[in-house]
Amino acid sequence: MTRVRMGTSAIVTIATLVLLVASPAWGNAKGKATSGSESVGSGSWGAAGSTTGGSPTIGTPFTLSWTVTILGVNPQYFKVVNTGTFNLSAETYTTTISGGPKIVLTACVGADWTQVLSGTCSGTQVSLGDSSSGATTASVSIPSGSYVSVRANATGVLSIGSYTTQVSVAVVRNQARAAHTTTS
Amino acid sequence: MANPARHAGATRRTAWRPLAVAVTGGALLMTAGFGVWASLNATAFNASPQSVSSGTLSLTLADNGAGFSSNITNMAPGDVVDRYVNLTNGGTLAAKALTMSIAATGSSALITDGTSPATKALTVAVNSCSTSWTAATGVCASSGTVTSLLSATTLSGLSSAQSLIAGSIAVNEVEHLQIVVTLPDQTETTTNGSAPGTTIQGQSADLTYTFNESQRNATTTDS
Repeated sequence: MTRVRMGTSAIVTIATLVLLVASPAWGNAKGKATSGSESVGSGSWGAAGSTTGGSPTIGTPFTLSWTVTILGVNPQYFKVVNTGTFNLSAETYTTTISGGPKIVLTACVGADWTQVLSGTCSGTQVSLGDSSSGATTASVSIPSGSYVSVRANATGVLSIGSYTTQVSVAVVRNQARAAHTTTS
Repeated sequence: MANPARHAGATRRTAWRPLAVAVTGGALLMTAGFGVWASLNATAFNASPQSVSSGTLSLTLADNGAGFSSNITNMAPGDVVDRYVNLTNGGTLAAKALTMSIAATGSSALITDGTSPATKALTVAVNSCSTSWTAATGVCASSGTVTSLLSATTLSGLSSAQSLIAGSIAVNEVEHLQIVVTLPDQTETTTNGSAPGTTIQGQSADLTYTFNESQRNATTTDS
């Protein structure tokens, strides 16, 4: 009986000590805390060139290869994909080519270029500049997750040969959606 | 003729008699003495026990609208997200010194601002409404008074507790708080879909808000 009573007493004592050590705040009412958590994430903005059936070339300019023959050269078609999470209202295009013809970029907003002959656009055509004009900012809206269809056309004096064109697309903050205040 | 053995036994018997007499006498004296030294005692006590109890301090957090239960996503530079929570001092004791701290983990770009004043990392400000916030509109109802409790502070600056209310908070008082989360306006150029090396884009952080209050000042009561 004595051993049983001592065992029970020891258990109660140990349990009390454990509780006091585990939660010293229980011993007094001097301070109380409460907490809540949330996750905050930022979005992104950007665009890149892509073949009509492929994925955007992230981090590098989109490349077009041309071979000019005595028969001339056909236009090429590609798309500019919104790679961010914000809707874009404009982008800045820079087209370069080493020698060769002048390359003119034209977007078809609201529809895809029909790739027949020189191409047809049932939407609105918007110039994205050319290889002789340097950086060109075009007000082309591209929703998040969407793209715009682009035609690259070789014009001017067409010298027979092979050429490479690079199309770079830059997006600055103010070309993405405007800031807003959300209350909820 | 005398018997020497009997004489020796008589001598031993008479030897302890004085001791016995002394013990008996001492006992009698002590008994008599105690009777003289006895005093009267009186005791008083409250018939009904006095009850003494300690108070409680309780601080509870409840969302008002989305509150902290809904994540904030896809922030753009310049965006402001207002969230609303209610803090209730629900114990039996008044409180004082309400503070807030935020434990933030995740992207350092959102947490730590390398420049001062803050221009890049997230900031948090706290306002209170004397009535209650209408979460859907961000209006302090019934023409209540809006008070700024904490100006915009970076998350790194909120790792230690910041004072919201230095004074007292009454029992059952509810603090109607507006938590203003801002991603400061800033610009970056993304080229060919690739953000700059140090970017604010596509980042995330987990924020744990901790509110703390202390019990009112201890008092001495005379009554």
